[in-house]
Amino acid sequence: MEGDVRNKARASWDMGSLPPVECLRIERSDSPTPDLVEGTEPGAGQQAAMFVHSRSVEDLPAEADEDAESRVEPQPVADGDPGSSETFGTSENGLQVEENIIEVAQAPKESSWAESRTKEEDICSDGWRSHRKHVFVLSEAGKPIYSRYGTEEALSSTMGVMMALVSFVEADKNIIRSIHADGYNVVFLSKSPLVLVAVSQTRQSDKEMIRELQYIYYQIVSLLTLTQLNHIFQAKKNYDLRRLLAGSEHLIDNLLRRLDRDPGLLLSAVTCLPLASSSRDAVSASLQAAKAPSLVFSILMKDQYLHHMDLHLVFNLVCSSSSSFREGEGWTPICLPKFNSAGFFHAHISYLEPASELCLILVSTDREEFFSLSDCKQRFLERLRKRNAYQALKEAVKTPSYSVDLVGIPELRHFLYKSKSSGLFTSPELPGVYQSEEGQERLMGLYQELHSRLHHSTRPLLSIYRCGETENFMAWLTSGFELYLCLTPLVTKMQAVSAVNKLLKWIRKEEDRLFILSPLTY
Amino acid sequence: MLIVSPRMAAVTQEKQYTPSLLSFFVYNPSFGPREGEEEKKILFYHPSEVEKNEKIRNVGLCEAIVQFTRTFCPTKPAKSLHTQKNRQFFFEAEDSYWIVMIVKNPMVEKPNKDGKPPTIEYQEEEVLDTVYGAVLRQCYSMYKLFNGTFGRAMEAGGVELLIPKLEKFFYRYLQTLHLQSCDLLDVFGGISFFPLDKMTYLKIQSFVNRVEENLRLVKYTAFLYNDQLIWSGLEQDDMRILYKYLTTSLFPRHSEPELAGRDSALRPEVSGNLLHYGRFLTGPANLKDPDAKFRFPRIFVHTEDGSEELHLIVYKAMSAAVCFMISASVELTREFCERLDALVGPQLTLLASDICEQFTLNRRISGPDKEPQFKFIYFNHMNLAEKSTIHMRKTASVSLTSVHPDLMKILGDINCDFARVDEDEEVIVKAMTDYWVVGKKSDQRELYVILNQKNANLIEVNEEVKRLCATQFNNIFFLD
Amino acid sequence: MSAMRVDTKVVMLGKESVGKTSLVERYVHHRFLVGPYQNTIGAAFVAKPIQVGDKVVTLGIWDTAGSERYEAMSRIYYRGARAAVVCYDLTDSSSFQRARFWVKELQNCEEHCKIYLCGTKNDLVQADRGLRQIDFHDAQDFAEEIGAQLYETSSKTGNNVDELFQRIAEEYSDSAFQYMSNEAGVDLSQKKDSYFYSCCHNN
Repeated sequence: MEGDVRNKARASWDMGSLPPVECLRIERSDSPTPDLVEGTEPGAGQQAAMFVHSRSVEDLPAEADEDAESRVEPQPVADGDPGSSETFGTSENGLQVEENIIEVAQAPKESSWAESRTKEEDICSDGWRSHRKHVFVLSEAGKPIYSRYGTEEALSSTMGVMMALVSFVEADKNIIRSIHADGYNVVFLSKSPLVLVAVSQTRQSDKEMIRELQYIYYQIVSLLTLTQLNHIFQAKKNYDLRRLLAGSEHLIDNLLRRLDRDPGLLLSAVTCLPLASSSRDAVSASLQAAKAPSLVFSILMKDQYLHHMDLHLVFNLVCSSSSSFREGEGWTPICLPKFNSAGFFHAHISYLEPASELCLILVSTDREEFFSLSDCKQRFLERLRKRNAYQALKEAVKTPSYSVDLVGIPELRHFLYKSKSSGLFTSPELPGVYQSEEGQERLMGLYQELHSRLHHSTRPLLSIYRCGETENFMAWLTSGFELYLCLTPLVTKMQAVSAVNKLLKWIRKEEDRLFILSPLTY
Repeated sequence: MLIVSPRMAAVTQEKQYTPSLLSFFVYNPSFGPREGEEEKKILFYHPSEVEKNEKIRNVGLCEAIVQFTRTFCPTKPAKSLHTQKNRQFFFEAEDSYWIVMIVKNPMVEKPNKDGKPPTIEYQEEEVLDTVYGAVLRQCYSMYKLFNGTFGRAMEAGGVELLIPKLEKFFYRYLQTLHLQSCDLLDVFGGISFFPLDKMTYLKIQSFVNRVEENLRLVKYTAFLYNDQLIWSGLEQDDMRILYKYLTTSLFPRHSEPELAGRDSALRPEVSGNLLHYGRFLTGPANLKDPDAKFRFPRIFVHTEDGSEELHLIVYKAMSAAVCFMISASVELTREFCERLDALVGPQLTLLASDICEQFTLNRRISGPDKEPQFKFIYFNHMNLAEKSTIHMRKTASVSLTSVHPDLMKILGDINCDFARVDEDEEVIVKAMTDYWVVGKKSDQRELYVILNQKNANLIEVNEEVKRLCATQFNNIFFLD
Repeated sequence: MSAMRVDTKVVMLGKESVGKTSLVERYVHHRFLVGPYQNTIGAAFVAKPIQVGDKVVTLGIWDTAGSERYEAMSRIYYRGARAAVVCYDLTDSSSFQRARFWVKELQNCEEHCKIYLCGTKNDLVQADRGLRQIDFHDAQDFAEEIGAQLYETSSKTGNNVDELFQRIAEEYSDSAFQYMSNEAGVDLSQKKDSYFYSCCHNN
């Protein structure tokens, strides 16, 4: 347990500000065991199998110009207005790539359509009541906007009651938070002009539920922009927002599914760091990313910070959208609410190849830039091919995750590791015991519970060891990382402690590949 | 209750308010089903000076919340409502009889410059549902102990009888609620047992047998020493609430004479003669007083087919207290009380001395009392036995704890986690203050340990708890 | 690789779930996807070369989302379009109302855009005549009134789909020849006119 982070030279930066490139390197020592051997990877042939779910941020080569020094210095953020047209030193072909956020993401393996909406449920039936987590969205006039299960029509009186409760408590200059009963909780989130309500049988804390409702709220904002949303309800209090959201229910459905399964949303672990580096760096970054298997390598061109929530919303959009992106190119307005809730960005969404899992997302501030971005994609693809990176990328995608067995700790079933400085996390495949839908949700539920205890707003904890009949858990929070281990039951504390140390050593050793913390050098 | 936070007091005069009772009411929705008669639903409302419409509004909200949650689970309606400013706890004590307790969240008041009103920050996560839910249920149990069920009063005299009963009881009882010091022990509502060697235990048992044989009227007996239970003939749940009454209300009010030092085991008169320190804690204060009244509190205990009403006689000699319960249908006379006093007084005095002596002896064997590195709370769900080295002696007003309130709340959080799954579990956490907190649940037992060993690691903490279990609990907790 | 060499812009318009994407899928990829309805997000672009006589014309097809949410920005998709396929569902009379709306929109904003009315899901109507809600002759009258051509198609069977797009390509080819059009290609990048931004920036 000695692997605590000692490096004090951490840069603190706010959303929207730019950490210098050096900073990123310094922060490497924020990883668990800086005093351990530097990661010189033995057996490079093994690498491909070890790649990990991680997301990273690198620069993208805007053009073929390999002259690193010719790049412009990053600019300060112009209060996040995507509409403001800043001028940057641009590349030879005049394309304003700097205004674009570019990332490559792997498309989800799971079919986002697996769960077709079973809307026509009887809301008085036991089946309807037994859903693990209901989510409702309504307007302040009490009009239904979204319901995860059952039709909004059938639920309109229930939603009316919800709104009545909210306003009744408000009348006392008070705010309703939640209702607790045996086996389930009801959590309220008022985000004028919307009210969101979750009814959950999970063991999640109110705080966790609120976080999920916030995701749903921002999902809606990302479809409409907050400005438009406010405008609509100012003009007409009892507007039926379903008209505007028609067809996007499945976006919310899918987001809810991701919230139940994706540790990234729990850990807030997808952040993109702004970074301006040379195109050579960028090309090697794409190479590096190509090695990084499962997915994601995300590229942020400008000195802007993309909030993990916005990134998750983009991912959700891509993962939820129809196959029409697959062979064509998508061009859709999207509001990134954490970045700017007032306006739309425009996302160019395309798969690198029709059959490919690799999806490229280019985000532009300019709605007219479709063809520029389309060109940009082509050039990016060509460059990847030229450098043989594309093949590597495709190879990596075939083995997007790694087995926990690679770590070589028999007692270890699964883990989550988040490097706080980079906002990246790594986690192996789910082992057999947790592969079923229930198993996966149960494991996530247990992680969520540990997470909410560690991050309690008034009684935070440094570490938790929990031993139960079906598994043991260890959770540990330091200034540099956050770690959750799921161990076999009956493991002794001695074994558990040694498992933690071994795992930290392993992560340190694999760090370069797991997190893409340092640029490749040739 | 207001506590001026010492840290900040000098600079900004920040004020910290602890949780307190905002209101407490009892209602039955079936008593005023029609519009316009809502007031009839309300059987008791504290504070009574609240304006009528306000009362109706607040009761209406509770009804709405309960009704709303039935949409999602018809059989398990709401138990609590969290709002920014307060927590409301709902308890359906009897069919359609709801008791609601509203607790104000603790808050910090920060003064503002320029005469602006102070900023108030509500600390919304400080009130634990499990703790205050238990306090609410305890309120009802206590009412029921002295009054029987609501339904019983309704049968006997309708709302005209029930309402005054509620008012009489809760008016006084609510003043004794000390919400700021409620904690995990309220959740357990356990009974502290006095540790005793077999010989002394047999002596007590034979004393109880002798008394019950001589005083045939006595239906149940309970024996306590030092506010801890040794023997009880009552059912567990009845004893639990009676124990709560004795230790938090009756004994603290009568504790003064014992504090005078007569309890010492070194007293020379201790052998064989008929020393008599006995006295009635309920009923007549002084038997020799010709105007003495022989009225005792009545309590209701469970029977197979409902409940029975009993006189509660509490008789005490030094640190030993005995409760004798006699059917309420019998009139208790001066003659009976004198007989009881004459029979029990000397024997109990002697027994109290014996116990005290034995206890002191045992303590000496087990070595000098040095402040241990840990503090713990133990509770056994099967026999309601509880043990705490965290809580100091209870006083009439508050039960003091020797650890930081945040640590107590962490215990509460762990207990909450335990309650949600019905399996054995162990949790070891390290708090931000570097204290270690350990919770164990095994079979029906729960153990919580707080260790103040900043530099210990998980394995050392585990070893420490293992030792504790070996010495204190004969290894009833299985460890790796 | 140079997929962007597009000769003319074709935009698909119509109420959601009338089958715009299915129509494009059928035409471009010769397939019909069965499964739960997936709505289009924003718009999808695909380029399709098509033989017209001895020339190859590349259609740049914009498949737009039917959802009302995107209505405010639909202009960026149809601006500069030479042809618009305004779709309605033969089994849904409200979709025809929506089609009228799009026609009016195009007449107001894009007078040079040729309109093709397209009644979809013809296979359903063939299977059960009772399902038809839009009378062929009513549609025909409307088409004549606005100077449009009318097609009834089935993306499931492929009926009339190729014919529709072939016709679009041919008519483009004719007119291009006629006017010796100088600016081949799509003009999404013209900067004038910020109608779309009015919804999110001006208030």
